[in-house]
Amino acid sequence: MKKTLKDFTEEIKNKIPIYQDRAVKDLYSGKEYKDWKRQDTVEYIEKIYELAGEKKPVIVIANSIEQYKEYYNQIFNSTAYDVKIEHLFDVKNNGVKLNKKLLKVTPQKITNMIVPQYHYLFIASEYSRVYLMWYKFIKDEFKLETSKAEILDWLYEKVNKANIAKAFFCEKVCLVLRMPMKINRNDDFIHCTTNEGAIVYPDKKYHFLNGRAMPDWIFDKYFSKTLTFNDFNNEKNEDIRGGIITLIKENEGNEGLLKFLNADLIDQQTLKHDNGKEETLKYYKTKEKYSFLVDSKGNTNVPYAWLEESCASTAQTYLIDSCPSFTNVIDAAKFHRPKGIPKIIDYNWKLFTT
Amino acid sequence: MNVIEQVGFQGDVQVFKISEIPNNAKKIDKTFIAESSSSGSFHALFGNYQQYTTANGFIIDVKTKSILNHSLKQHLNISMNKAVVLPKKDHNHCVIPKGLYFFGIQMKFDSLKGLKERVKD
Repeated sequence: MKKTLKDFTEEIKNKIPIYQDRAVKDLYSGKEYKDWKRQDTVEYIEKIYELAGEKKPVIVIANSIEQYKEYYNQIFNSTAYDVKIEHLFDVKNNGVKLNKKLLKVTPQKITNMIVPQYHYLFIASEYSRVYLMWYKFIKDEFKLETSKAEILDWLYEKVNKANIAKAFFCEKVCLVLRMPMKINRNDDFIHCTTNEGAIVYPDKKYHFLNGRAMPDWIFDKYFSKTLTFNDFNNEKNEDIRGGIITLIKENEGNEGLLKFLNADLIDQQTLKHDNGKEETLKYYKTKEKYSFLVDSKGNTNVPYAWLEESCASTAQTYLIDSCPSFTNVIDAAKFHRPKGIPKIIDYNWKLFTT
Repeated sequence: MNVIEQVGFQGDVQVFKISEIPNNAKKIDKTFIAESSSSGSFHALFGNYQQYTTANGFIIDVKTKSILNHSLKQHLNISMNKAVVLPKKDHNHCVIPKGLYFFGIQMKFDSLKGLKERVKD
């Protein structure tokens, strides 16, 4: 049956958020992790092997990324699990009677840890639920008939319960990493400005700000009130510096940021570029002057200065180290353009800002 | 270099329209415009264009509409001759129309040294 865009009615469009909500709501809140039953993951993996024409594998499930790395190395980088896996595989597939003596495992000490790679399969990864969601949406809402309807319905019904983040597929064993206990986000990205972590596993939390991975130390120091201006100043990676600024701004506002930097806002302007986008630029200087600092003209005993701008794609705020000789933020923004761009060229982005 | 106007920016990569290829520009094979020192991400142009290098950045002669991607090396399994959109790292992709451009990196100012240097991430 042929469908066209005319069939994509407002009524159908309005159902998209319902599908999206079902795909991720319980995952983000932690309900999915809490309600998880091992049998759901086992059934999902066995179904995938069945679809691939393979026998049922032995399924090892890791509850965290750290555990996944450890199991991966014990299984594929040592011989510790060989006997157990062979035996369980025969029990599952070849009618062999279970012998508990063969299940004993003594983990080996791994000195050359290897990193799991190639553990992506589209119907058993963190993206599977979204992939299946769109197929389910198209099939049900456009009332399409397909020979794959039954298996699609089964996978869609099971994928959230299976709670799989990724898995490593082998003939006799499948190593599965579960989804996190909780995922914190803003509207668009994994993002958390408390010390809870953006991605939370039972044994470790992972920090992200506006989708960018952040090191633990900035959170540890900030929340133990030991983060200093020097920590910020000594950090050379702009994403991490941006993370520090975001952390302070979202917890304490602009006033908190200025206090941290001991700075004054010298100029602020909002520009409307020819590409239709607005951009707010800010320029700060510290109240203090420092004998060891120098401006672009060679003057010493000057303050620190920064140009503040936001990433148009992620809204992450950046403070770019600037020259303290400006009073107008546009002059500062021009100063930060690549070498060779004359001042006379307007600060006006014609086509894109991302 | 005869700069005409600001075209756009993708993170710390800034793009400017120019009127001619500078005499000191050296023709090179397609390469990344910028590469992260820590995250495995890169800014690179995908499509039909000729790239030149200069002391301050790259000159790009775009023959047909090309795509500026910010992506991860793990997605780099496709030729840079094709104008394709790769999965984004942080910044959305941008469409670069036919024309002559200068691609450079935003600068920061090191007030301990009194010198400008390229922004790093």
